[in-house]
Amino acid sequence: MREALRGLTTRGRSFLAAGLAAVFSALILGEKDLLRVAVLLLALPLLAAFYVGRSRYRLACTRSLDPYRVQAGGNARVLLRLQNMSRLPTGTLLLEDKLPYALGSRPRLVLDRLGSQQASSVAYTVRAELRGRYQVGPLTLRMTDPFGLCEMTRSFPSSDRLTVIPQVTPLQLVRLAGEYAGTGDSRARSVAVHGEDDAATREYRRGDDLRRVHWRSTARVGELMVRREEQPWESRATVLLDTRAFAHRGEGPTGSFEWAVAAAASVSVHLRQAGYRLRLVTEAGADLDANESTGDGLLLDHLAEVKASGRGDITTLIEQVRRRADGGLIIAVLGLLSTAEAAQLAALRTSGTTCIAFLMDSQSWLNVPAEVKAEAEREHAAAALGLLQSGWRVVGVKHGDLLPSLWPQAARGQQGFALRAAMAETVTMGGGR
Amino acid sequence: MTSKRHLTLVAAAATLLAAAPISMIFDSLNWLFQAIITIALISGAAWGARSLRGRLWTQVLAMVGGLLVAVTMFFSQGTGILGLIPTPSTFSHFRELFLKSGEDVRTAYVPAPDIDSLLFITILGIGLVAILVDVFAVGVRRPALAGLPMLAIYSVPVAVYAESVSPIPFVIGAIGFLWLLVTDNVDKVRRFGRRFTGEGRGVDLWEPSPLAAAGRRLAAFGVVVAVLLPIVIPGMTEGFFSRFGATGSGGPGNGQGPGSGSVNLFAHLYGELNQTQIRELVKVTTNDPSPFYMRFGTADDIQLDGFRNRAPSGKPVGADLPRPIGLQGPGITGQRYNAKVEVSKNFDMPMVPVYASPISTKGLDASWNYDVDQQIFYSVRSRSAGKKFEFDFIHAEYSPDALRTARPLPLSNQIQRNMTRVPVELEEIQELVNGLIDGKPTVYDQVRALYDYFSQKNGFAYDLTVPEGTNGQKILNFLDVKRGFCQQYAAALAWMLRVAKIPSRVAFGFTKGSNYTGGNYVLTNRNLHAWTEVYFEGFGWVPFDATPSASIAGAVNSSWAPNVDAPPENPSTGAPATANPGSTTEPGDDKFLPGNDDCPECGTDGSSSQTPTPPWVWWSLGGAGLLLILLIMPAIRRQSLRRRRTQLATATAVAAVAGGPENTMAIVDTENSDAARSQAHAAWDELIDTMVDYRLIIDAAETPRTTAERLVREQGLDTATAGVTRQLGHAEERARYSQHPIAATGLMGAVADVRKALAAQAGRWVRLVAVLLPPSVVYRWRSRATSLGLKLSRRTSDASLAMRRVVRPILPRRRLSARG
Repeated sequence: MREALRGLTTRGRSFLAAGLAAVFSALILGEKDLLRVAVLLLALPLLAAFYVGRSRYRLACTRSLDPYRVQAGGNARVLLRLQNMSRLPTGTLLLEDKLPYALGSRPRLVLDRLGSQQASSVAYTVRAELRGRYQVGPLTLRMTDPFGLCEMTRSFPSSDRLTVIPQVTPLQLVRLAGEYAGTGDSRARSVAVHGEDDAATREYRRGDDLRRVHWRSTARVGELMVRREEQPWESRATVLLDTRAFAHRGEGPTGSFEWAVAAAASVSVHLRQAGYRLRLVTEAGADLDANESTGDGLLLDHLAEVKASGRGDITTLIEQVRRRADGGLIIAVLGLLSTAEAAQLAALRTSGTTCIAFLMDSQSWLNVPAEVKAEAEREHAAAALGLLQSGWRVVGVKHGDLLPSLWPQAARGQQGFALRAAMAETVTMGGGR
Repeated sequence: MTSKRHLTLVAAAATLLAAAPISMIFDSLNWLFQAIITIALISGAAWGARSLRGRLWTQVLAMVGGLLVAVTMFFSQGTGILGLIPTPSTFSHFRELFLKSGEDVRTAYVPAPDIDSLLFITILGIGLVAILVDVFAVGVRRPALAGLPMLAIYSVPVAVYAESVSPIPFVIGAIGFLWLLVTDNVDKVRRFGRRFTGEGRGVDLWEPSPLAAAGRRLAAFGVVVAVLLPIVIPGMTEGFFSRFGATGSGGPGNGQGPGSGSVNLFAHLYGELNQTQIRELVKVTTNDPSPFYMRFGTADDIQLDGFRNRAPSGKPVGADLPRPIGLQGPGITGQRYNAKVEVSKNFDMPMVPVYASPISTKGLDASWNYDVDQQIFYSVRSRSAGKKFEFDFIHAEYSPDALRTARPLPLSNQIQRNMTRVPVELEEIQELVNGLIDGKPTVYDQVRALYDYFSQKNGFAYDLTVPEGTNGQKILNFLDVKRGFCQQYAAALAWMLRVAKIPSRVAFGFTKGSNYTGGNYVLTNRNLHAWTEVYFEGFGWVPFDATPSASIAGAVNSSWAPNVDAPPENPSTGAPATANPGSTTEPGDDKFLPGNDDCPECGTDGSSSQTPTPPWVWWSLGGAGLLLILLIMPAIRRQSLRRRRTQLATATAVAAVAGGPENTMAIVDTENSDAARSQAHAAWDELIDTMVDYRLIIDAAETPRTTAERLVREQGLDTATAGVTRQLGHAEERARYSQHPIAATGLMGAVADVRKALAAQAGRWVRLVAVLLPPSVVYRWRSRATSLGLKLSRRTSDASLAMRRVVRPILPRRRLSARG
């Protein structure tokens, strides 16, 4: 009740003040008729406060997001479930879920009445245009009286997080063959170092060829053992994301950094679907794995909120990659590179690995004078050349390019090889269009 | 947009509901019809402007236009184009109506007839309120502010009626206001967001909100509280100011409200006349050789509970006062005189006494107003106590022949309408009046016939002990028993005149009194008087005093209203005595005063009843008495218990004495042993109860002997008391365990000794409690009540179990569904 009295609105307070004034004047003037008005004015806010604060509602609120992780531009459904734990039915409740502005306007709901021990659920959808992690909630609950004299606000402490991952575009299934693809099916594979410690023999299983029985082991173990001839192979890929702020141009969702993040996410998801064991390395120090146990959630979560770092350096990225020599495919999404940085990066490639660089000409994200543009293009070509020379495949990216249309180029190794073989001075970028 | 439309409708309906208090102003419902059409036009205009998405000012303009059309329709009297569109002449007509309304407001009586000017300002006011309410509620979405114009409507009858108005119009208006509030807030809540119910179902906009239902409940409760609470609060008939301003005269004279209309002058009169002490109220000096009565109030409104004084209305006094009609003309002799008045502190009223027809005053400030119709001076702020002023007045004398020329007023005349009103038709009075005025040709003759009826010949006598009251039943009683004082005479004559369709009223004031020398009159509370005034066309209000003048000190008889009790030759001599009409009945003074003093019981009777005790005093007194009785119940019970035990003990003692010759202690034979046993038990029980009363520890496991020993030891009783205590213990021991109990007399005396000894040692509080709320009784009652409660709860639980056992096999489904 006291709490409810504190929750009197301006109207309620005015009523109280007017009522008191009327009581005094009624007593002074001796007007019983005025006293009626005064009593009504005084009684209304008190009745309203009583109505609002007559009982301490015990309400439980659970919120579920479907899905918890949504692509930018996608819809997520938020389901609110309210349960009245008290014995009294509630009055009309005004619900408002707190949402960051990026998720749109706050959903407002009016719950007419919730009976005792009754539960009700209501859903609304949010749509996020920007990647990131957003807090959904807490749910605030307002109770009001019929006259608008008293209003009480309570909020549930719990809030949930909605992860908006960058937009993942489906990519064409291409064979990212090794550079020397002449000998058949040497997909970018390496021996699984971290497989289970497998002896060269294993127990006999039904269907095994008897000719493969390893008799010596069978004698030692006491049951039929067969030779193992296959080794577990797995596809591995490392995705490098260049998060140096100065390597990117443009701000916000239209900046080149967002393109890079979206590209990294799309490539990661694509590779995961193709069965790769994935590792994401960013220059900011993140080093995440996506395998069967973790799934790509962690990786995408990281990509959802990755930010360009102001003082990044390409060497830290390289060190980060080298810290764990996995081998396998390397796909780098790179911003502007100087020739020196390109050379450092080129050293990442060891023989036999496939390294693909999506080298972005970030300058093209800005509207700049023609000479600056030409300069940028020149630098870009030089960096690309540096990478090409050490055997990288370089896919140039300009503003407006779409990843699905660039992706097939990553499979074309011959171009780079031929180029390197010819030791050409220049390359034509953005071919195939 | 639909919500706005809805709100517009609700605002219009709320305005109409809030206009309900106007119904107390008019006596027909014409205004309501016009108000409905006006409000409909205004809200229709607002609706239209909103449909066209006009700005707020265009909406206001549209509404003003609607109001203009409505007013033109009703009041233009053909000056408007098509009767709807106002023209310049319409506006000038409106201006006339408006100016005239000010005059009509002052002169009209409530409930007023359908006077055009009054209807005009009423409809104009209601229309403006409708516009304001619409703007506040719909235009700026601040419906709480709409309460102010609504309150303005409510204040009209409150201001017009001096007494409390009926709560019904208030209830209707309040409901309108609350409806508006609820509608607005429910609409706000609806627009807050998507609605859904507890079942998770979405709710459409049009579906009723449970909030509105709650609003209805709360509003009903609030209105009921608002109506009931002021009724419950006692004594809210006057303000603080008047309470502080009142002197402690003790009489009912200090209970007047500032509006002076709330004074019950009859009650005041009755109280003052019955005062045992004589207090000087007013001193007046006049050069009028034979002045008539001084007046200070009138009662011209008869309600079910009797005559009332209407709230006066007038203008602040100036040098010259508006003159009432009928001071000049054939048959009227008006003489101008001067009078100086000195009001004592004992006369504390919001009005001052003056002679009839004052024409100018000196010494009264502008806080005093003069009501030319009632011819009284009244004030809202000032009181009469200690006032000194002088005034000029015209003493008018009317010749009966001239009065005979007065014709009855036309029925449409306002005075005729208002001053012939009676709340109930009483057949007995009607028959009496018809019989009296039958065959009297002129108004004056009819008046005289009724006036003459109140004579000793018809058995009327003066009697101050008659209880006061001027309602229909009281007047019937008076006409039946023919005993009463000025109040009954004045009221009865006025009532009968009204029944005869002659405008009349009751005037209050002072007689000339018995203490005067030359032109100096000293008027006391005994000189307060009431008489009847009759309206004659062309003459104005002419006084008729029906009270037997012989019983009134300083009564004045006039040529047109001679003393009806005088010997029959007196009227014939009185008729030519028109030159000296004010024939004061001197012997009446001597007759009246001792007669009153000889009757002390009527004086005390009056003083006891002059402060009418409000019922809540009786209620609270009764409640307090009941509480007191409840509180001393344990003490009474304890006394009766003791008395019964003493009786038992003495009765058996006689038996014991008869059985054995020893008087102190005797072993009785077996026949008497039972009696001796019960005697010992009674004495022992009394001792134990006494110990409980004095908060001594009782151990049920102790034998009587050890108890007695402990009592002696712990309380340190003196040897004599110790001896009787041991004797008590011994007697009880023998009574319990021995085949031969001892019969001892004086056991109860022994107990009384022990009680005295215990009381002497106990503290004052313990002593008091032992007498007033004896713990022995209280504990016994409490334990009995507890066991009774336990038994009751066991019974009910048994019953409910049995019920369930019966019901369960019959209704298995219902139980299941109830659980689900």
